[in-house]
Amino acid sequence: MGQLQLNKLTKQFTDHLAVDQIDLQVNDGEFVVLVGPSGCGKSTTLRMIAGLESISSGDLILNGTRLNDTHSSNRNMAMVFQSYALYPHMSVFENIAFGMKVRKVNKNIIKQEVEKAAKILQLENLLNRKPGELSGGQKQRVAIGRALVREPEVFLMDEPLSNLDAKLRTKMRSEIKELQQKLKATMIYVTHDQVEAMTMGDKIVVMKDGQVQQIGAPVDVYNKPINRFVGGFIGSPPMNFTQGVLSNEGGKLQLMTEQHSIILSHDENIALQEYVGKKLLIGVRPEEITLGNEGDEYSYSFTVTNTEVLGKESLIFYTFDEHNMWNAKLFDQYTYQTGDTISLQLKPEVMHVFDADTEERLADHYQLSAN
Amino acid sequence: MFKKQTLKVNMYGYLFLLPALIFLILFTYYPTLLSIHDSFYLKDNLRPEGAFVGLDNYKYLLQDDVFQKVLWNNLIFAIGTVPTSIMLAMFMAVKLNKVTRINQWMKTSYFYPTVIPLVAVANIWLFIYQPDFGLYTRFADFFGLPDIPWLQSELWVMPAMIILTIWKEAGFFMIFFLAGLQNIPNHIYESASMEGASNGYVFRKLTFPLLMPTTLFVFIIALTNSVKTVDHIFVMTEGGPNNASNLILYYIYQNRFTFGDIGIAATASVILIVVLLAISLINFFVLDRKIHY
Repeated sequence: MGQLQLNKLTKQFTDHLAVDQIDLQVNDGEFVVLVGPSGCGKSTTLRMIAGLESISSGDLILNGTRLNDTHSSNRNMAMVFQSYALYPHMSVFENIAFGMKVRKVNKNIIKQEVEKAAKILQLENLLNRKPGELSGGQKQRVAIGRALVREPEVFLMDEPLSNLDAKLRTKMRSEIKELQQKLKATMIYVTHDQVEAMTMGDKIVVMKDGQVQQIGAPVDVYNKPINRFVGGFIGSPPMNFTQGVLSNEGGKLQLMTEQHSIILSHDENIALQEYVGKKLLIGVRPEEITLGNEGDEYSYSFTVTNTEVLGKESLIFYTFDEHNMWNAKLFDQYTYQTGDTISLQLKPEVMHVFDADTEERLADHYQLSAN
Repeated sequence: MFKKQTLKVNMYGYLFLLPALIFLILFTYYPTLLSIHDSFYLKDNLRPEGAFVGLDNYKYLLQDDVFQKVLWNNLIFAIGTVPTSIMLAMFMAVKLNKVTRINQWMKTSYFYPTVIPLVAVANIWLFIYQPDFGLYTRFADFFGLPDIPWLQSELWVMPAMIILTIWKEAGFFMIFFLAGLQNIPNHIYESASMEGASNGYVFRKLTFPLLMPTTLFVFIIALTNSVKTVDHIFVMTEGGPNNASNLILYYIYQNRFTFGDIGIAATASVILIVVLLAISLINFFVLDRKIHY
């Protein structure tokens, strides 16, 4: 299995810069997920790794060998495409065997390998079918089977689950993860779905506009988003944000927003007091907001715009102020109506503090959760 | 009550069908039946009312040297034009599939012969094939090639017709193949490329089989065209020399309008209809099943 390194990998198309100097280290047996909104360059990055797109500058190194000018077929990688890219006129067997036939592998070995892959992926009974006779999940498995028999150093997956329905997606998600762990395969997986990224990756790479925003374990990225974009992108529903000016009101640090004075600390001696008089951006995850009582220190009143009951949880949408719509995920069933007033608790320790201008996360010693 | 309702609904159905039906009956079914009827009659300018002769017309045609020659010519013409124009069209489409400025110009110029009426095409090629001062003669002189009496020799007249037809039709068929290629998703090629498949292998194992539906469609069009387009014969050879370029449709025309032999023309038409029917049956029942759509 392989260890892959991207050094300042760049893709310049004639009219725009798709991927801007990406640095990334993929360790042997690691499951790395590239995640970001559409157009962020994640697929282009994967295609450069695969050799389907030329590299404008930077280095692509696999196990110490520079691959920039190596043809895709000699890179020892296998790719699973979003559309599966199955050959429609060939049976499942022929589809999986295609690459081996190209490489003129002995027929008996081909049969053996295909059957082995079919067994792993539970395709044994489908080997004679054509792709047109398969369900989406089965097609997906065939595409993975085709990659499996290649025994590649690195598996590349380009949004492999996006054509499946929600239920099947959840199932295939754990199947792929399980398979990856069983094979101890190095895998690079592209998705726009932050849930896939969170649940599957050993390491996630959040991208935006061709640039890497943050690399890290899913939990670390969730707990310490490096900027507003990552905070809003990772986590569902997305993080709530508001801006305000930090002020010191008789020893209390407060964030003065349009309509609320949010208490951040009773201790004026913390590091954050350096920012008094300056603008700050705070982010609060919906699932960390709790129901408050009127008169409570950290409770604030808001007007409900909508309520969605998701079973045992409820999503409450409310107006934070004129410019910011917030939501809260409360554990239990609530039936607030539009226009109702709700009291919610915003504890300082759940707040993420960002610089208002750069939208970058402030260093750890400024964060309120550290106290 | 119920019956009346059904009748009313059916009436609407037939009314909608009527315009198409009128023309089909007038120009297809009636002439077909009339031809079948006339093929059993000795009917010409002297006997416009016709005399029943049973299968005599068929017997005559099967023994007629000219008819046999015409059938043979048509076979040669089909064999000469159909596979070559299909292969050429497929080749051009595969080569020009990528959208670039040059390819767009190439496509336009390859398609251009299609928009010229066949009679005009025949005139262009009449100039090319002209002995002594034609375009080919000058070209041959320049390169030191032997001059060929294209339209004057029994040997060369059929190749001349075949070349003209391929020139006229390949660009038209190319359009169908370009459309067929558009339907093959690009990911398939990327996947094959990652597997290390060469261009030739990809063409043989992926492009060609996936183009089969288009190829079949084009094959049927090319084959029927080889039987039903004879405009150029009027302009260039009138079937000569010595019936060497005569095709079945022109033969039917000659019998009906030059010789006034309605019975024989009708009989040849019936034979032609049967042959075309057989071709379409083969298409739908044999080839169709072996092709992946």
